[in-house]
Amino acid sequence: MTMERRFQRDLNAVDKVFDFINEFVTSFKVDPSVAFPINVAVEELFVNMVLYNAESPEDISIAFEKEEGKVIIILRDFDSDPFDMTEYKAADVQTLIEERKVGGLGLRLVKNMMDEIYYEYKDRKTRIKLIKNLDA
Amino acid sequence: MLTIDDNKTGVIRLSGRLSAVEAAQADTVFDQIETTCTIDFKELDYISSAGLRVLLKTQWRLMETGHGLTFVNMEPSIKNVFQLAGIDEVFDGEWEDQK
Repeated sequence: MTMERRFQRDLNAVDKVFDFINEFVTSFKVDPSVAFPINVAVEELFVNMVLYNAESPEDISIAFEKEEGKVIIILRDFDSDPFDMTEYKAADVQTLIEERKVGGLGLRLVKNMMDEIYYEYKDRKTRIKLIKNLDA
Repeated sequence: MLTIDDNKTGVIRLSGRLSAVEAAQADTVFDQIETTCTIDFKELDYISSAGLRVLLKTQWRLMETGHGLTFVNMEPSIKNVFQLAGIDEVFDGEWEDQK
């Protein structure tokens, strides 16, 4: 079973995204402890799509599926430029601290909070699939 | 929604959510901090990288004058965000018990 919804390319839509995650977590009886990392990962990727692909007229799609022992999250951005976040190497934390920078935190959180991340890009469409394992 | 209570001298209490939606609001308050200050997280339910950036920018700026932020009353889920981002040790706080 899948829940899918489309959201306006607007930072203020983040609140609606949180509401949608809450609906998913409640109706699929997902352990509340994974709601926090799902909120963070989805917010980070959604906000990146809003900020770095601001020109696209298309809405952004977010979908959730629950399978045995895991949650699958799919974000799709249409009419987008390629950016493979799985290949992106942010400055390491030590450099960030030494140089007093603030970049790369969001993608670091996504990578550390999710168990698997897959990136696909075809015909100007971006598809990011996240998997969060559920404790048995 | 984020509520920022800075009525008590030297203490800022955060409550609600500090996501990309609220980051600009938080920036306007944190930009005013000029000296060492305690941030009370007791009522904060959520933070993402947008919130971390607000706090980190403030911390870098305060450190230039020998000041800094001290974090208190952090729930494990909030602490975890700082730790997974790798920036927990930049701030004074009760980090040890979560490691």
